[in-house]
Amino acid sequence: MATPIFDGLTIVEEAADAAGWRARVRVERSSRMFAGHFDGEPILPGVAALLIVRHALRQLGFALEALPSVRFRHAVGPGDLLEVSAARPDADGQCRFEVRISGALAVTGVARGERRA
Amino acid sequence: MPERAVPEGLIPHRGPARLVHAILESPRPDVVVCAGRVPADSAFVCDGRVAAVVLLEMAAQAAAVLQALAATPEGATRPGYLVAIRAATFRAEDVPADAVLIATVRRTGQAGPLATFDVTVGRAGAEEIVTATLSTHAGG
Repeated sequence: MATPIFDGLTIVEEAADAAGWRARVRVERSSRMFAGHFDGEPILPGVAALLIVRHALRQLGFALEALPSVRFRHAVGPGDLLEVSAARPDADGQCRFEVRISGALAVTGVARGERRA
Repeated sequence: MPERAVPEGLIPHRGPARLVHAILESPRPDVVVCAGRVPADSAFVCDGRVAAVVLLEMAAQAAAVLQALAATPEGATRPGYLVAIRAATFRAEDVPADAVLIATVRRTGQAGPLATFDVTVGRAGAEEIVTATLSTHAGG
């Protein structure tokens, strides 16, 4: 079942296990996130990918408290299908995450979460 | 320097994508302080709240303002792409939509189209919520 998590970002497949969280997320062409960002060259704001990472951590029982490092390697545009994965946080609450489009890395990084009560 | 509105066209973000609205001060060529908010009808708002991670977008826009203030006229509205974030910390999980936010940006490095900034964002008159180092690449 497709689940909208944010305006114009729809999880079409999602799984969490001992290794972490994985999902395919569709970037809807109609997303309001493209309005004004930018005229004639619609690009998903980079923080939208980080909102997905925040969602992933929540699904794993953690609240996002830091992003030690993030690299934006490829722009995300209307209609892209994102393959997102976040490892289960280690003892320090840190985990690696990545976002791919058709296999190519778009966003990579390390997040740190605090276990939620 | 008196507060002034961010002029339309100074940065390429328009309409609902524009989160910075006023330049509060630019005490040095490498520093700018901007005010802004995430409106309640923004795509970033969920149940009246804005995730703190979204404040990094406001910080990136304030960095774009700083670069535009120093840019040549023909380079002023080129998008600057956020290429990296380091050492981002969040002291709150979210903030209310429409809250007045203050972004302080200091350029710490520039090499051709690449620039690096130390940024903080917080609610007006309150403790900062986000600190980070951002790297951008001027497009075009």
